[in-house]
Amino acid sequence: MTRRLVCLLMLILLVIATLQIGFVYRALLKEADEVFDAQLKQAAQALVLTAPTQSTALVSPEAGKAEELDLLIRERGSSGELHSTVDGVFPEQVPLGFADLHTSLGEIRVFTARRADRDVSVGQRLAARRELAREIAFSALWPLLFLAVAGLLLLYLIVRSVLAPVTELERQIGRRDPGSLTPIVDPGLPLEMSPLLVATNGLLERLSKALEHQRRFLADAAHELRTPIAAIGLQNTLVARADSDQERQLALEAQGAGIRRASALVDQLMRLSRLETADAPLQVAELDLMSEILGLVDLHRPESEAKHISIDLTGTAGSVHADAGLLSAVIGNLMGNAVRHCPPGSKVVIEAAVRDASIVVTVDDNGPGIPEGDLPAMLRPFHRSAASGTPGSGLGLAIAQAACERAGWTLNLSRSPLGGLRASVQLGTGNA
Amino acid sequence: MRLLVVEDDSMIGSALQALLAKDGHAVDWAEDGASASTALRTNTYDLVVLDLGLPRVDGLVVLRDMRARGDTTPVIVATARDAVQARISGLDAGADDYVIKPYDYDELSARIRAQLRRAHGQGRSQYALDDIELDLKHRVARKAGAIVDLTAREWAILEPLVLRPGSVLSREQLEDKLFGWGHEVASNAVEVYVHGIRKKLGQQVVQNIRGLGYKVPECE
Repeated sequence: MTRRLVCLLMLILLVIATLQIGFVYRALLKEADEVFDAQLKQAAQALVLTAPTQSTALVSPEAGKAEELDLLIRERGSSGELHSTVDGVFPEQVPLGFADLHTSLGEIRVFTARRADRDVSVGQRLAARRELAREIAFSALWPLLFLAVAGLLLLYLIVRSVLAPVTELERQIGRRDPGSLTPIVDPGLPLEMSPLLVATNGLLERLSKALEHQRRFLADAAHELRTPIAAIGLQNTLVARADSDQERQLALEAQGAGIRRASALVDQLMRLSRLETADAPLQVAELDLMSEILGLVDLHRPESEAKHISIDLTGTAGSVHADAGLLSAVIGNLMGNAVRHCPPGSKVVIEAAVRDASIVVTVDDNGPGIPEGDLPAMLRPFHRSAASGTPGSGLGLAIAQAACERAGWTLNLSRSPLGGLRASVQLGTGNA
Repeated sequence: MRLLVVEDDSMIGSALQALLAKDGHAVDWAEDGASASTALRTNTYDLVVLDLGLPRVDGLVVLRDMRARGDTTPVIVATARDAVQARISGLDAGADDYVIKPYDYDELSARIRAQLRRAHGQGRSQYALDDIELDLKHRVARKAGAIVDLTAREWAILEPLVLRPGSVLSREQLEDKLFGWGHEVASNAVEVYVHGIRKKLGQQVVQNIRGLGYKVPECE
């Protein structure tokens, strides 16, 4: 990346420098040309004012010889007589003003001035003029060329030092263990790039949390399955060792119950895992809250009637916009939890009410409750209250919590005024 | 042998109790740590099968309490906690063995036998007297080379006696090995089983020490 950037910048700089040098060179040549021309014109106009035949003597005392840049002068008198500093160079007729002439000395530039039939032509060799102009131009351009080269070098160094942290970052990421989700160390990135690193590290952290959660869930799930599977194993041995048909029948029934328990646990695990990793969209519909809850009460009736637990439903809430599956996962699990953990003859009261423009469903019981300190932990998967004497999967409240999170509701556990546990779900706003 | 199963899971507890009873043990079953401690203080057990994740009082606490009281009853921890650290702390707390759920019943049963043999100061499970051979491990009894069928109850009487040949066990002690809690014990149960053993193996195997109890003679 650094190399590409440097190459590109250098190319651009090089093109600009070349163009600039070219333009300056041409401009300098043109300027020099104009200066020389002005010099010729001035000389010719000055000489034409002097006395006849003096002009050649004035400019070049050594007639016949000419240095490279010396002015070549010819005077033509009114009667046609010719005087010249160089012999045989100028043609017979020279036009007035500027003219480029091919002569024995090569190309020359000439200016001819006329005054009262007397012509004075002043010339200069073009090759020598150009040579001088080039020299001037080059001496003016040298510093520019040097600056361009120094600029390129400086540019390279700056780009490299600015991008060094990026290169370091690149190396660091390249060296990483593919399974590693530890944050990337900031190698001193430029201010503009830090947000990218912060965002990337944030993503890594979330990923690592999710992965850790999955790992723990898997370990917990495997652990939780040990007990039901151990039971099935023992029950199976008992079936194999039954001494009578009656004994075998009883053992088989026990084994059936063991298998049902294990599959119920697997079922709950699946449900929880699906809730926690759900990507299917919610299917929100207008539901009649009271009839939904009544349906769930009916579902729990066999269990509650077997334990002589009464379930009362009160409330005023009308319809609610919710996903029916999530609603029954939350309310059903809270209800099931209350029925399971309450001793026979207990009371469960469900209330659906509108509070502060949102619908709140509260499940109260007068069972043993949960010690205040244990309450927050109860929402985690596989956590059972140490005070609980009733075996459970430890997933009911976790499923309710996961469903709440999915739906954007809030689940709260507290002490119930009835003496047991109060679980309240805030369903968000609804149409009361 | 009289065993205590401490297990909060009712399915495992009831199945384990039934299986161990079939093997001729008298099995008590405690469903939580508190009642396990009570049972251990009020009864003498030959071995405890202890789950760790118990409601109210953790199994490790029960185990440490036992050892703190000087109770050396063999304890086999049977738990779902499989982490090496959990095993180490279980053994450090005084467990004699550690099995992880789900375990095979035959393996647990073999470990129970091994612990019982060790606890009774004898690594062997063979006993021979005259033409009688007893193999406690495989529960095979032979008289003059022929296999003799003994019931689980008869084995339950024989086992504690054979493990300590020469020492006397009272009728009450033997009753303890036969029945768990809540069993109506017929007053002559031990005599009935001893009678059965003698009928199958011969009079000399189980000797009655009047007023004290029963013993099997030392081999050789």
